[in-house]
Amino acid sequence: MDLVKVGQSYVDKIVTDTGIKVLLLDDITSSIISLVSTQSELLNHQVYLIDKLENENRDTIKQLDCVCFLSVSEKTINLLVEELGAPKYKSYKLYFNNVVPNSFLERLAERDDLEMVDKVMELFLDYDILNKNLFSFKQLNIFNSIDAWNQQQFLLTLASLKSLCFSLQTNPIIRYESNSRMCSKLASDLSYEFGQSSKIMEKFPVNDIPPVLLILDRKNDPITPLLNPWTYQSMVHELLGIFNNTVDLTGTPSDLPPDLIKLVLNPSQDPFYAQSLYLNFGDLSDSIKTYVNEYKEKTVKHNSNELTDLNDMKHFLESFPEFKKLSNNISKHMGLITELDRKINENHLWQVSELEQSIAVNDNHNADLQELEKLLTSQEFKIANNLKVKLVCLYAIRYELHPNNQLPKMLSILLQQGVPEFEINTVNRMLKYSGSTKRLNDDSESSIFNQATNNLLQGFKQSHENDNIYMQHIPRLERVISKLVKNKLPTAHYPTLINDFLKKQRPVSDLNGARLQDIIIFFVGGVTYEEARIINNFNLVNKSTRIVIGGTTVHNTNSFMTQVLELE
Amino acid sequence: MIGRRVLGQVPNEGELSPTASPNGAESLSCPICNENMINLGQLNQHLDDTHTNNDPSESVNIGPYLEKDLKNWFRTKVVDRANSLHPLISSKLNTMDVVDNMGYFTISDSATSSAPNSTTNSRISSPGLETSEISRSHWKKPKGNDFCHLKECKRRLNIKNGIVNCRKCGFLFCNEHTYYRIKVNQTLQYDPLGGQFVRCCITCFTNKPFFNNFEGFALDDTKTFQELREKRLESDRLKTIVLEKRLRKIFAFVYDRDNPSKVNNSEVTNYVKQIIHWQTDNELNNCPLCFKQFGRFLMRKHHCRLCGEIRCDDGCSLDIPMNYLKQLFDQSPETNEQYDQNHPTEDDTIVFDKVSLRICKLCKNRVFHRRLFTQNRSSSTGIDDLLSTIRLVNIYKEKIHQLLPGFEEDLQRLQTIDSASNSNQILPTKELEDDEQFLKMLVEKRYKIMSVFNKIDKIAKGLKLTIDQNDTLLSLKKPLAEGMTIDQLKIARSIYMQLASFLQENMLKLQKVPNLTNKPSTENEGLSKLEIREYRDKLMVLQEQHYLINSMIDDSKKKRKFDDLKILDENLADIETEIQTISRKLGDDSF
Ligand SMILES: [Zn+2]
Ligand SMILES: [Zn+2]
Ligand SMILES: [Zn+2]
Ligand SMILES: [Zn+2]
Ligand SMILES: [Zn+2]
Repeated sequence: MDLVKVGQSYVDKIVTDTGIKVLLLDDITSSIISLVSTQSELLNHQVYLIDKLENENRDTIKQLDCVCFLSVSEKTINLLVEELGAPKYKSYKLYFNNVVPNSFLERLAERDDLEMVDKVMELFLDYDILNKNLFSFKQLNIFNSIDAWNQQQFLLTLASLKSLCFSLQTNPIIRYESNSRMCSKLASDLSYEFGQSSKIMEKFPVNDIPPVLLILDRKNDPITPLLNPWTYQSMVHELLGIFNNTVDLTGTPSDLPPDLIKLVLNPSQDPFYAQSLYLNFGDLSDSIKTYVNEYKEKTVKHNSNELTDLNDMKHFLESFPEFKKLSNNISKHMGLITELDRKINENHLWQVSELEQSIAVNDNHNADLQELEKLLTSQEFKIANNLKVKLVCLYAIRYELHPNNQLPKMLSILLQQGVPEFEINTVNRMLKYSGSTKRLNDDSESSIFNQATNNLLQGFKQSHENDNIYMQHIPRLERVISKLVKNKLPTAHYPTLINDFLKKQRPVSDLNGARLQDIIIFFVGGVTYEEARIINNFNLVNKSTRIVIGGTTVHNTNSFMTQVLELE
Repeated sequence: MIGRRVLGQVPNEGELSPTASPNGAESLSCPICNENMINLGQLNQHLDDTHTNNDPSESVNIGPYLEKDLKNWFRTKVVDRANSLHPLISSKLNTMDVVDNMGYFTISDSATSSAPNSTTNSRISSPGLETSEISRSHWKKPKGNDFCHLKECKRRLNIKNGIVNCRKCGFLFCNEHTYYRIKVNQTLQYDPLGGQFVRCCITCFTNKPFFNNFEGFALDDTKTFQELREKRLESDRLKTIVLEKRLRKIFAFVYDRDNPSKVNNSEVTNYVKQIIHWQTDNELNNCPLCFKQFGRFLMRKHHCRLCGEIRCDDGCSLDIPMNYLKQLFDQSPETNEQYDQNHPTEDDTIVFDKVSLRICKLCKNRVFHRRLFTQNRSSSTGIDDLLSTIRLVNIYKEKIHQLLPGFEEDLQRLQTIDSASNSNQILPTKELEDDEQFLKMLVEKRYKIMSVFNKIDKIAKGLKLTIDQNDTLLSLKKPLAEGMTIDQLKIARSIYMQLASFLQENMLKLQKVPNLTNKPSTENEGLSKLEIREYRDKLMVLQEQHYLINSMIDDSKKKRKFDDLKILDENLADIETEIQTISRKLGDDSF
């Protein structure tokens, strides 16, 4: 399964018709499309004008055909009805990014007495495609209270997850974590809707190995989003923040030229990023060095023997700033890596990360406690408040049941160190959200603190470097998937929902020892880039199993702690 | 790291030697689940299909100690039990893959000849074991010197690596490349619902239909939409006809009299009340269209003269001069029967501007929507210019796409000639002449391409000028130059961007020509007639541009647009250098 290919196939559908045209979008679809296409790609399909449907100041251009790619909402339909009443363009093709209710179609048809619309299509792209195996719904505030959905966000999640499955042409068996009411509600509503969508499901190809959607709850592994990651994409998100595949460097002390403040990081448009987004920091430095050297070689060659003879061509080259693309890309990554390095040193992340890993992986209370106290009170390393709170969170979760637990003492140290009380609250909220009684205790060896690799599948091993003390921890997800792929997840902890349509279509679904083929993993409460990375490694090695992963959002430590803090 | 099956490794210990003589099998049962088996071949396949952990990586991540433990586990749990059942089974288990393939001989010997005995029997006696239904007649026989059929693998097949037939395609593969399962039916076709799982190779697995299809699912609603629209339009048309009839009657009442100028609005209203249902005033508290409350903020009730219903005056109904209404109604190309052709229209504005008709939003849309729409189909010239630029550019680009590949091929030929002339110092005269001819043709081609590039470049530069000019104006929050709209500016930017990247992509290909132009010519010497012509053309274009920019500079000076001046000056300098370069190349031939 390759989400980028899916996304591109949709873009192709939207812009495929010949002719000079205008593309109308809305807030939601413009960010969706920017993740899978570029302006120049759209230009190649003769899209000369891109605008928002809601912009009232658009010119009337009767010579242009119009293609619309829109989300399905009351607001969009109202705007469309208005547009069709007073059309600005020659004709309209309407593409929606999810299921269109019949009532909407009727309203549009009613208004189209000028017969301007010559195509209406439902595409199923109601989600953000971040990597070829990572998607996000970009939702925060999904909670009403602990383990209960905010109703509005729930409906959005439901719709987006449905569109994801439809886009992949899958009618999956749904598995979910039994200790989560949020997962269970999502799973059962989704299963019901799938059962009702037989008109669509009929059109999907049938596979001998049925696809599976696994719905997980973030609370069952609070450790992974709390650890400092050391691979490129994860680090950029952790330390600088990635939104819509864009990094905003506004306010960083480095002197950056204006065109390097907002950086697009899209693996399908940036070859260097594509080959290094999963590299650890050490390998990354080597990789950028090679990249710079290659560039130097290229430019030297150009200047010495190829360009000199052609004055006219040189003239062309100089007149177009776009030729600087390559050097721009180098400065972009140089800038990012420099900034990462600055942040690492500023926050003493080597020391912090070492302790994090030790807490997460070893069972060594006294040593960890000592080191924690040292870091919290250190005069030598000035560690930022949020990092201190994070360390105490890790400690609190790890040693919650330890007879010698010193959490109250740690909390009072935080207070002494001048950490604001509301920030300190995060620790207790974290325990309420994700303490030992809240987590799924499916079996002892798959505890979230385990480091052992024994029953992991091939492909996961590549994700961890045993000799790298900063990357020892293994996300719980790996153990879950290792069982899931072999179809050995216990139904007691991971109930199975088979929707009505599937039951009819496939009365017996005996896997007879076959491994699962297509798997969609969804994290209620947010996924991490680290988890996306291990999925990528898994996919590279296992040719017969393909996994895509996503969540209500993609977390870094800060966004995760904020989410927990905001829980009532 | 490559996964190796634990079972396949046991014989390496040298403790158990495979002795295959399957005929001795009596009644067997699976050592693991105790299911009854007809013969060894069947047990073999059963073990393979049901109990083999179909997992290349299972043992991969296990450290050396654990691996040993596992082997022990297998020996005690499986092998020992098997030994106690039947002396032969142990060897089967240990060399499963080998015997599996040897099973080809044994089973097919008895089964393929006419497939009567064991296979049919097993089907009857134990319906759960359908595996024997899948034919093995297509299995390739091992020749003792076999290699994995997978192109990328090709490893030698032996006890250690495994010798396994893919149940679907029948070729021989190593263990690692047959850890897959696929559902096939008796004709060996992939059958996702009706088939049964069999072991297969990676190629058969990944070639399953739809396996690599990542086209997003889409649902075409166009038909549904059209039907809905048709239904709606049908009923609309009927309503429209009624309204149009009424409107004609009203026009007739006003205009079909001797002195139409005497008619006033209250007469018209009285007439309308006779022909339509006039909604009673006290029926409503709110405007039925916008729900605003009547009586507050001067919201008064008004009657639409076409439908007779009550509307507010705040956007839901409008008083329209009768003559304007009639003009609009008559002139539309969509109304076939024109009302009252003979009536003189030239005095309408003078005579009738006092009489008007109040029409509500709904009725206006019903009767005039189409008419107004066709009338408004005007186009601004700015956009037409941009669109024709796009079309022109597309033609040029097409031309380059036609010319460039051939040119690149020729260049390759040139390189081979070059290397040939470098190695063999003496070439036959004939060939030399040919080469010269070829070179000449190449130069001609190059200039053809260059001239198209120049045209594109010219367009791009022109656009850049306009864009920069307007961007400056935008940043000063002034209206755009030459009546350009924001949308038009956006389109101009798009075209420019497209041209720039086109030049970037394709000009670099021309760079490979470097020495060509200078080889036959220093200065004008050696320029062909065609080259001279091309240069002259280019020169003319440049001089034209030069003139244009000069006049723009004058203009900007007059209007004190100093920001533009800077850009224009730069542009002028560029053009002047280029003119100089070309003039120098042309030398005496310049004009
Ligand atoms: Zn068995
Ligand atoms: Zn095969
Ligand atoms: Zn092989
Ligand atoms: Zn009316
Ligand atoms: Zn009203």
